[in-house]
Amino acid sequence: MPDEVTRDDVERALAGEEPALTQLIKKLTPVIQSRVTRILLRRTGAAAGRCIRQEVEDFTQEVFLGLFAGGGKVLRSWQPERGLSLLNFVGYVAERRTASILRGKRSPWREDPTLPEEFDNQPSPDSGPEEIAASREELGLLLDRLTEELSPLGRHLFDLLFLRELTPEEVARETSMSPDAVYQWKSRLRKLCRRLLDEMSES
Amino acid sequence: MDPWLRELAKVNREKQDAERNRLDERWDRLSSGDLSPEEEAELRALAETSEEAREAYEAFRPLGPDFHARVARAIREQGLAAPAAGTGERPAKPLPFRGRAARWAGWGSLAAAAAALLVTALIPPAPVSEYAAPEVSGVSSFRGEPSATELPVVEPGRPFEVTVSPETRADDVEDLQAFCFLSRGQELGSLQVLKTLWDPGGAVKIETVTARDVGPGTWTLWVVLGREGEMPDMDHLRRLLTTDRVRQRDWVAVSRKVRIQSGGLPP
Repeated sequence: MPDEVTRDDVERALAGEEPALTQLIKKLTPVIQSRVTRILLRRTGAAAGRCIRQEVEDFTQEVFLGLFAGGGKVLRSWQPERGLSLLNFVGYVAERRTASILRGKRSPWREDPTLPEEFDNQPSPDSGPEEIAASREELGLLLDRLTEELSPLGRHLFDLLFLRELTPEEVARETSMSPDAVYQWKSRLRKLCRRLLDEMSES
Repeated sequence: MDPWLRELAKVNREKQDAERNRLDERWDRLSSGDLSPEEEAELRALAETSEEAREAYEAFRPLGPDFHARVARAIREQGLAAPAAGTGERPAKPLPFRGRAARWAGWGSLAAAAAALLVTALIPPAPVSEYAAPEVSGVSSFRGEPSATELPVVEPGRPFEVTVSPETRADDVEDLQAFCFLSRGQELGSLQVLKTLWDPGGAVKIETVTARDVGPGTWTLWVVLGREGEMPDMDHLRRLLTTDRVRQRDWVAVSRKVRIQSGGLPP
């Protein structure tokens, strides 16, 4: 049902048209609520006396406001042709926003860390990834940090390339991207992982 | 595949397995309202077995039309979507938060009276009114630099008064409470409330005093007004206070800058 949302539906909602706005909110609420709740329960655990329901509502509303902020910049960056449904896209956004707020960062909408110039200026991992001595705990933390750092598309590609271990050619087919573009993403994502691991080991 | 990336994928799979063991996909379907009655009964029964499961049930329970309307209203109020345009339709009227429409028809007068009482009990109170920024009195003023904005100067340990008034007359103030505090970034400063006086129109005057250990400099003075039992805790507030005011259904927080300084006006 919710996957039937089209770019036109999104544009109408961003323009404030009814019933498009309310319909979009209705369709996106469950996935946002679910992702927010999972992170809240995982990271904060049960706490006597708190009102988890209120927290879920507040965080879910925060995610919606983030989606619509700046003329709907985040929502408009959804590219269905990249193989990510709107629900999955928004799910990643919700995880990123929630994780960032919980870490105390009030402006989690960083620039996409996959911008070419940003990555090209970073030191190359020429020491070889096999030399990275990351504990399992650090790798777990790295996954959390990636949730905060990556754009929805970046996170999607990370999942496809490194967690599902698809080949760049398979990813290219799934995302309608060129193989060259996928190879570039792969290299940049590895660099990002390396940088985050370095940061974690320094802190 | 590099060995460390393989390990990363393995850690990810283990995390996902652990998550699924703890909260399987039925919980997601609870949010979207896609559970069968049997599945929902299972989760409800599970919710009674532990505090963790009860909290999960509360958290995943679907957010309904009231919530959708509240979000739509927040989006419009913050100017993030234009007013309804192009369709000639008016925006959907926000539903009362957590309210539930109740219709009563064809009953006798006694039943109707009882129903009216029940409806009154079911309908939640209206949202707390909008309040203007606090007025601070009983203090000196400081002409700050460089914006030439006058800031009230508050002396640690010396009582002063804070008054907040509703934007329009607020009638439903009997169950409201108020407290105030200071914030500066993530730092919080405590204010002891000495006396609270409520005006029938909804304004409240709070006599308060800062703790003596509140550091000098510019702080944000917050006044929070809300219903008894619905007031936010400080952790909750700290996450939300990113602007100069926050308004939720059951409480509102308004603020103004003050300067904490020993000895009144600077030379």
